[in-house]
Amino acid sequence: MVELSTAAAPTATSKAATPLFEARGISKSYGHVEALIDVNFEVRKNEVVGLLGDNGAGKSTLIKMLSGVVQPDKGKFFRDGVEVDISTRQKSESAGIQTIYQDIALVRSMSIMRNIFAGREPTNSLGFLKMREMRNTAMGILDEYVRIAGINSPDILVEQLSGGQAQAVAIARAVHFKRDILLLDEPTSALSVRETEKVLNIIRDLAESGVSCVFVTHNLYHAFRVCDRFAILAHGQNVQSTLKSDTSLNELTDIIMKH
Amino acid sequence: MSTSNEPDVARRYAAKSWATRLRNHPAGPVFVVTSVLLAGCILAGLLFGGDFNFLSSPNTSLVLRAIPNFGLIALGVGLLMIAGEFDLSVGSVYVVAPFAMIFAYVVGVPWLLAIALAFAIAILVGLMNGVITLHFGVPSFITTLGTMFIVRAAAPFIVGYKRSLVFKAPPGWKEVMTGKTFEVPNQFWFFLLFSLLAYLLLSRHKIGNHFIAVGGDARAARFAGINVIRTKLLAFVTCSVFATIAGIFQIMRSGKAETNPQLFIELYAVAICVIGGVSLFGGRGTIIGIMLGAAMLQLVQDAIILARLPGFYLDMFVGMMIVVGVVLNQAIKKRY
Amino acid sequence: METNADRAGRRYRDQSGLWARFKAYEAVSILAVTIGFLAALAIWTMITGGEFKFFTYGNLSVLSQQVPITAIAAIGVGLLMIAGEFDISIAGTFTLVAFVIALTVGELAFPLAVALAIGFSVAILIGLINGFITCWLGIPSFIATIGMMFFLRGAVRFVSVNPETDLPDSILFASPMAFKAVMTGHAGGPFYAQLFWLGLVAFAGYLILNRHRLGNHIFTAGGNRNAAISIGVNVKRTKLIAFVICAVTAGFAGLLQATRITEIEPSYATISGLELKAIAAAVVGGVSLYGGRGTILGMILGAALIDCVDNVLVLINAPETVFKGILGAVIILAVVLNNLVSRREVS
Repeated sequence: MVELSTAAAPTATSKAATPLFEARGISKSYGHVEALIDVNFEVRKNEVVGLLGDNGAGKSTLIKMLSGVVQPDKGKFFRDGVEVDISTRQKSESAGIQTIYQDIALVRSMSIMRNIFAGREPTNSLGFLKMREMRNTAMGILDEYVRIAGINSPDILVEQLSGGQAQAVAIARAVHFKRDILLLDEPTSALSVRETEKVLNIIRDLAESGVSCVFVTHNLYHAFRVCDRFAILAHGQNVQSTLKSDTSLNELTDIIMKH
Repeated sequence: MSTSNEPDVARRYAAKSWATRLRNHPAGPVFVVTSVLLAGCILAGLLFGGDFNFLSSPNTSLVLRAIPNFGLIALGVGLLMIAGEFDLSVGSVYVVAPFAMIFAYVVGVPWLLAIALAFAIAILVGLMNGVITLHFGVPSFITTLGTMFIVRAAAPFIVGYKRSLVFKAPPGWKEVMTGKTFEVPNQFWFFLLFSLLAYLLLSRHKIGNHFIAVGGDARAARFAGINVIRTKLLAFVTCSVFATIAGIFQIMRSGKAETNPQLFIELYAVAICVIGGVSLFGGRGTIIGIMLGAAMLQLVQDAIILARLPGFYLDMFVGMMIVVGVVLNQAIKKRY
Repeated sequence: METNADRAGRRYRDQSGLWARFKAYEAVSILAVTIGFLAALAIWTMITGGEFKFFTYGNLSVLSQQVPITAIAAIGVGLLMIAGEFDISIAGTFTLVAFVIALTVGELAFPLAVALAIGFSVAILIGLINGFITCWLGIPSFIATIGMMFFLRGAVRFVSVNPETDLPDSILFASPMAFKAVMTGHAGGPFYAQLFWLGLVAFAGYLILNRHRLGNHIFTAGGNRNAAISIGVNVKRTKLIAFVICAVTAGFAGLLQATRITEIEPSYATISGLELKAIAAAVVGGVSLYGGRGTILGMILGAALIDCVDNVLVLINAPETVFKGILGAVIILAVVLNNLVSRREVS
C-alpha cells in the first residue's frame, strides 16, 4: 500500500553519495492546472532512473525543466550538491544535461557528421570547418559509442538511416560532447520493436560506462528492463521511488494504476 | 549487434558506379541536361554554321555575360532557400540599390562610397525581410512579395522620379568589370569567383552548416544550439547582397541605371535554383547545381533566339522546367 | 418533442445575443476596416469641400465596374486558399481565356456561345492541370502555378500573334450588343451589370462554401489535411475542384473585363499584377494563408478595399509604384494582424 504525500516522498537509498543531479521542491502551475506540486527528483551516478507515471502525471513538464526549456515557479536544482541555474538550454547543457527526443531532432537532410557537429563545429580562426577533424571524430564516435551495423561513413544522410540508427546517432552525439546526464524523453516511442531493443541496449551500456540516464516512458516493460531505479509521479506529485531490486513489474503497474 | 533484417545501409552506400552517383546527386539531372544541351548547341553551331551562330564570338560573349546576371542573383536566392526561406524582393534590390548608388555618384558622392551605399541598402532590405518574417511570423514568400513592391515604390521618392541615369564610372572599373580576359567576359570570371565563395561558405564554413541545418529542420537546429534567427537573418542579407552585386555588374555593362523593373527576375532566380536541385523545403541544394541551372536557362534562351523561334517558347519552357525540376527533386528524395 | 440538440441550440441562441454573434463572425474585422476606411474618405471629402472626388457619380461608376472583376477573381483564389493551395497563374488564365473567346468570335467567326464554351473549357483545363501537378505530382502549388504562369504568358503571346506583323498584338473583342448589355450594361445610377454578376458568383460561392458538403471538405482539407483524410474526405479531388473553380472564376473575370473594354492586351498577363491583387484581397479579407479559414464577404470586401485604395491613389495623383508599394505593406500588415489575432484566440 502506498500513500500519497506532499512531503518529500520516501526515497530508497542504496548509495549515500551526493546525487549527480537533484531537483528539490519543484512546483509549477499553468493557470489553474498544477502540473507539478513540490516534486523531488534525483539522478545518481551510473544509474538509469525511470521517470514513470501515466499521462498527465507531470513527467513531461519535469523533463522540460531539466532541459532548461521550462522554468519552475518554485524549487531549486543541484549539481553534485551545488545549486545550479538551468533556466536556459545552454545552461542546462553546461550543467551536463542533454536531452534526447522522441522525434530524434536531427536534421534529416544533413549527413551524420554535420549533424554531430551542428552548433559546435570545430573551425579555424576564420570560421572554416576543420573537415578532416570532423570526419575522423565522427567515425570515432560511430565506432566507439554506437556500433551500428552498416554505417561506415559519416557522410551518410540521416534520412537514409532507420529510426533506431538515427536515435543512436543522437545519443552518441550527446555522449561524445561530455554530457553525463542524458534525458531520454520517450526515445523509443517512434521506433520499431527491433530498433527499440537496440536503443535500450545502448542505454544500458551507457549507464555502465559512466553516463547517467533519465528514462521517461509510459512503457513499463521497457522501463523495467533498463532502469536501476524508478521514480513515479502521479498528478504532479511524487508517489514513490524504488530500486528495481525492491520491486516487480506487477507492483509497479499496480502503483501507477492506483493513482 | 547486427541482424540480417537491419536495413543494409552499408550495401546501399558502398562504392557505386559513377552513373548512379550522378543520378543521386542533387545536381545530377541538371548537369546531364545542361551538358546535353550544350553539346547539342555546339553540334548545331558546327553543322548549321550561319543559321545557328552558337559558336560565333558575339554569341558566346552574349551567353557568357548573361549567365552571371541571373546566376549571381540565383546564388543568393539559392543560399536563402537552403536556409529555408524565400526572397521575392531580389528583383527590386537588383534595380534599386545600384540606382541609388549611381544617383549618389552623379551628385558627387565618391565612387567607393556610392558602392558602399548600394550594399548598405542591400543589408537594410535583407534585415527588413528577415525581421518581418522572423519576428512577426509572416511567411517569407509573403513578406518579400510585399517588400518587393515597397522597395520599388520607395525608390522614386528617394531618387526623385528620374527613370534612368547615364553615368561614367571611374577609369579602370568598367574595363575590369566588363572587359574580357582570355576571350571570356570578365563578368563570367567574377561569377565563377563568387560561386566559389558561395561554395566555400555553404560547404566549408560553419555558417553554411548552420544554413543547411536551419533550413532542413529549424527545430532540430535550435536544439543543437544554433541561433536560428541570427542564421536566417544572415541568409536574408546574403541574398540581397548577391542581388546588388548582380545589379552593379548589370549597370556597369549598360552604362546607365534605370528604375525600370526587370520583370519578375526573382521568379527566374527561383526557377534556376529549383532546376538546379535546391529544395523548396530547405536544407538541400548545391552551388554547382545553381550554376548549372543558370547556364541551362541561358542556353535554352539562346537556342530559342538563334533558332528564330518566337519568344513565347522561352516562357513556356521555363514554366515546364520549373515543374519538371521540382518533380525530379522529389524523385531523388524518394530514393531513400 | 424537444430533443437535447434542440435544447442546446436554443440555449446557444438565448445566450449569444445578436451583438455577441456579430462580434464572433469572422468577417467582422474586415467589415470594420472597410467602414472605417469609407468613413475616413467621407470625412476627407468634407474637409476638402468636395475637391476629393471619390464619392462622385463618375468615380463610383468606375469603381462599380472595376471592383467586381477583382472581387470575382479574389473569390476564386480565396476559395482555393481556404483549401490550402495557391494559384499564381490567374492573370494568365484571365488573359488567355479572354483572348481565346475573342479570337474564336473574331477570327474564326464562330457563334458567341461556342466561343464561350471553348474559353471556359480552356479555363477548366488550366485548373485541372494546376490541380494535377499539385495534388498528384506533389509539387507545392505556389511553385506549380508559377510554372503555369510562365507557361500561360507564353501561350498568350502565342495566340496573340498578329499574322501581319508577326508580333503579339492586342485584339478586339467584338461582342454583340445584347451580350455586352447583359454582362456590363448600365443599370442606372452608378450601378452596372458587373455588380450583379459579382452578386451571383458571391452567392454561389457562399452556398458552396457554407451550405454544401464540398465547402466543408474544402475547409477540412485546408485546415488539417491529415484529419481530412482520416475522416474520408477525398483531399485530392476536393483540391482539384478548388483549382478548377479558381481558374474558371479568373476566366469569367477576364471575360467581363474584355466585354467592357473590348481591347485585350497580351501584356496584361505579365504586368497587371492581378494574381497579387487577388491574393492580397483574399488575405486582407481574412482568408488564412495557411488554409482552413475565410469568408466570401471578406474576400469581396478585401477586393473592394484594395481597388478603393488604388482609386484614391489615382485621384490624388500618386505614382503607379506607390500603389503597389502600399499593397505590399497592406499584405504584410494583414498577415501580421491575422497572426496576432489567431494567437489571441488560442490563448
